[in-house]
Amino acid sequence: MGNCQLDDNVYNKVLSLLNNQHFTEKAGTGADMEFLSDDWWLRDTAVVENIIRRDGMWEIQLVFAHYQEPQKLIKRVISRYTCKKKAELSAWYIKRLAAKDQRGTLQVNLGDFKLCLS
Amino acid sequence: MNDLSTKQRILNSSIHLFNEYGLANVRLQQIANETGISVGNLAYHYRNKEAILSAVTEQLFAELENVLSNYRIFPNLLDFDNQLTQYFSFLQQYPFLFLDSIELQRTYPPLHKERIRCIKKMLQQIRMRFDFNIQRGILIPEPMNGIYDRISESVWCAMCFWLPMRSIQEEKHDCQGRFKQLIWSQFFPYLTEKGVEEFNQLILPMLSHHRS
Repeated sequence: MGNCQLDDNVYNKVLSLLNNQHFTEKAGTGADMEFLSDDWWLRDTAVVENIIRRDGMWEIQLVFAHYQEPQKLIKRVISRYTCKKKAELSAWYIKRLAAKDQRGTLQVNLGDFKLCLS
Repeated sequence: MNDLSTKQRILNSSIHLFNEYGLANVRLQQIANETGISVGNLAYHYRNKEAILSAVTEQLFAELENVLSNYRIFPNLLDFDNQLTQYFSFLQQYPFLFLDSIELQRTYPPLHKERIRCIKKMLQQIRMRFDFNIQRGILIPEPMNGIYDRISESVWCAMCFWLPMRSIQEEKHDCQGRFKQLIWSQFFPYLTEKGVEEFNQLILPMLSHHRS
């Protein structure tokens, strides 16, 4: 961090933005926190497994990304294994299970295919 | 005390000695004695006084950065009062940083450079507090062009050099109330009616608390 320093002008701008925050920010509402319980969008997500080495173990993570808005995603840590092969095998099964959501099927909009009707 | 690592104990002793005798007058033998270790052991951890000073200032600037990061936590005058409390305890902990300003500048230029960077940040923060409180209607708009720049500098001077001055006069250090009164008295003439109301409500009780 020692090498990363803001120059005077940038620091002034940061302080000024902090000041402005007080005048522009509004108090949140209950609806802002709905994302914690609102998980219906997970129906329409692609599931990608990710295996990483952490603390000497192989950790399985699943990434759920919305098929229309890839920026809308969540990552969940599923489990850890000492053996990489075991982790890969489990990840494959877990991914297969997660991708097939029991609550519904993927929503399909004809418009998304951008078909040319002429 | 034994829970601390030897390195940290050396730093604590050094800070104590720098504050007591000044940067130039402290020798490695004194630091070793104060820590309760041999000079050889001291040299194992820090090869010379400059290395000790560099570690001390690294710790010191990390603390100062921490104080500086507490800008605009509360959207009222209490925010500055809290920061003043933190500055006060910082200055009490490391008075040598200001008492030995010239020594630091002449002998340890990289540390001086770092200090200049923090000083600039302090000044900018004080100045931006004026802008913020004008926007909030707590301070009157600048009555004369550049006057708030000058007051910011004078507030900074008071913050940094009032405690060392007290130390030179051999007055007791435990005077947080006086310190805060000195700083707030520079803001007070420029408060609006709403500002005076907020000051009376939030700051005055704190200042009275120190007086009692």
